Amino acid sequence: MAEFGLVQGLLAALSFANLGYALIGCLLGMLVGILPGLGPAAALAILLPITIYMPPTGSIIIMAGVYYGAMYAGSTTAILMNIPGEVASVVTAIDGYQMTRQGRAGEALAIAAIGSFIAGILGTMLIAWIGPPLAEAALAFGPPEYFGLVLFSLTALVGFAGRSLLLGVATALAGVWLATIGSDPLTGAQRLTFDSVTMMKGFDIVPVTVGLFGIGEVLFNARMRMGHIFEGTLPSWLRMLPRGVQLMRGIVASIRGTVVGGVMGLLPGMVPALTTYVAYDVERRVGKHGAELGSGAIEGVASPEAANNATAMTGFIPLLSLGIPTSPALAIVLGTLIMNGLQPGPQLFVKNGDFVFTVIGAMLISNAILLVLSLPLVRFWAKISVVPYRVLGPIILAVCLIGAFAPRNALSDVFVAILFGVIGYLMRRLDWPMSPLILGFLLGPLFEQSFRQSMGISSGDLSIFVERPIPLLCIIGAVVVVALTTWLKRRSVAMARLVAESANEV
Amino acid sequence: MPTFVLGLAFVVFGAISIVDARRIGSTLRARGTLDIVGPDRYLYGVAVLLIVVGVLLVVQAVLARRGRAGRPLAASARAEAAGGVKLPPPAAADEDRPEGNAHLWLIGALVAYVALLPLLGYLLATVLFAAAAFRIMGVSTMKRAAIGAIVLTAVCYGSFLWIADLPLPRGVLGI
Repeated sequence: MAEFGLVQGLLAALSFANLGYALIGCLLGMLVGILPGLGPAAALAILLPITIYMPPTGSIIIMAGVYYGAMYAGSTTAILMNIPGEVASVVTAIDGYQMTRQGRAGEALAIAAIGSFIAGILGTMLIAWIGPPLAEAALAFGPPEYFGLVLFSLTALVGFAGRSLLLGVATALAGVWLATIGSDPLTGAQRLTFDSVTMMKGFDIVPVTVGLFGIGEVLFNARMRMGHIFEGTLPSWLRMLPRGVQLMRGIVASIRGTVVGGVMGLLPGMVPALTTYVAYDVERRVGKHGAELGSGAIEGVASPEAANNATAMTGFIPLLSLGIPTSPALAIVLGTLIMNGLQPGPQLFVKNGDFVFTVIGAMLISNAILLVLSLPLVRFWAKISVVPYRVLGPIILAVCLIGAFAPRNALSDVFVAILFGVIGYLMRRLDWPMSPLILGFLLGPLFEQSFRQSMGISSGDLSIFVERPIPLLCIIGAVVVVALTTWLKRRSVAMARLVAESANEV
Repeated sequence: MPTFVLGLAFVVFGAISIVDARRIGSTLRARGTLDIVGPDRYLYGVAVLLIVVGVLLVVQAVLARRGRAGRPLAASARAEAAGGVKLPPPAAADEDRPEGNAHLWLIGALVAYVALLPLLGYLLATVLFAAAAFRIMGVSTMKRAAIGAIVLTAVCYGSFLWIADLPLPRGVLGI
């Protein structure tokens, strides 16, 4: 594990091809972040079929770039037009748009980029620092430990998702149930296939995610019109940069936001939209200029922007070292790893250390690319953001349909994508949370396997899950997280709204 | 109403799963030495949970109808008034969305697309679908929609042939 470290990873990431992947990922991510009605999960789902034809390193570099590129750029329209490109930027819009109205749009955009950059770099260092020892510890994990982890992830996610705990449980369970359809991997038994050859393979991740996040989102946004166009003028990008006291205030707030977002990002269900809210609240209470927040304070942009990027980054720690995704977007990244023949989990650091560290190195580079690209191109992005949905929607649909067909060359997959598109539309319309469904579906096989193997070890005795320390901790943790989130959601309307909105978009 | 239907669907899926788990039975389980749960009992477990959650959803829907819902929000609103972070109103884009039937037309177009794909082949079916989608989403003239559809199909077809070297379905016309 030690032979291939961060420095070697960074060098490998500097290869011509990897730089290209990073650049493409960042540009796509910024595009996704700018365009309202196209969330990171939808974009990653659309990309998923294409990654089959790329090398694993390249595909993960692109996907990671899209994920945090969207976090970077989601703030642009929030600041300029009060239209958050992502739910994660809703909080940024509060002070960001105020700054624009005061003629400080450039400063707000610049500190958003700087805050994101600080969070991105610190977050990446954290991955390189915590990831390997965590993976090493996880090497000793057996089936009961994995069962505990999956149970914890699913319950925590259910706690955060949507307005009702019961609906969260229901959708997670629906995901786990969908995962049982097809051949049982341990015995080959056919479950719920009704002698259909097509059903034997079960539902593939590509049509399901493409349908839920891509087609579903277009159906939901079918009549969206963009009304607001930024009419102010922006100075040249060099003059946008905040200076002196403002810069220092922004950097301090960014670091605080990074800590909040980074720590919370380790928890399942802690989607960036939530951590931005918490970081903003922390800044309001602890910050020196807390009272100014809400009226165009630079901290009000720096802190949430740093927090959402930090959350996006640290989510990669449980993903890469344990194989446990904490959000739907990361679940799709997990799917990419599996489709490329890499087994996510502790073994990844041991067997594919070069891969992991190259990806981490590329993350550092991507963050630098994003910092450099976001300011000079901001005028271009502001124009792009007004592309009407009547043009964008059919394009997304066409790409989704061919993407659903591609991986297995199966017409039935196109049908499945449309079916899940309708389901995704209905869930958005009815405010049912989608993240538990997709995580239940993706973690379902691991959940089942670890449960059955644990039962094999203990000869059917369920107490194995409370006798071992890690599963016990996971179960206690799950209970605590659910209690905590239920309390938080009842306490705050704002929190409840962000939870409901991110349940569908992230 | 939707929660009620979802609850009923859960009960139905749970029942189907129980029937299927019984069909698998213990034959496969006996063979595996360590796998004492087996594919069938696991499915049983999931099915029972589906039914329990389904019943709870139905109960919740019935109770909500009788007007017992909505208490948590009142409490939280009070807390918010006492000094929480106030979020800006939802994005303007949401408010602008008129209640149309565009989504229903799109679903219709998607279903027609799947049905026609084997018959017409990828190129023809996609051009037709994309033109319909552009029109449904509000592109003003048929001419613009048609041009957009042809360009879009060509780009999709071209890039997938290039990236994936993929045999796309051909229709009765051989294209």
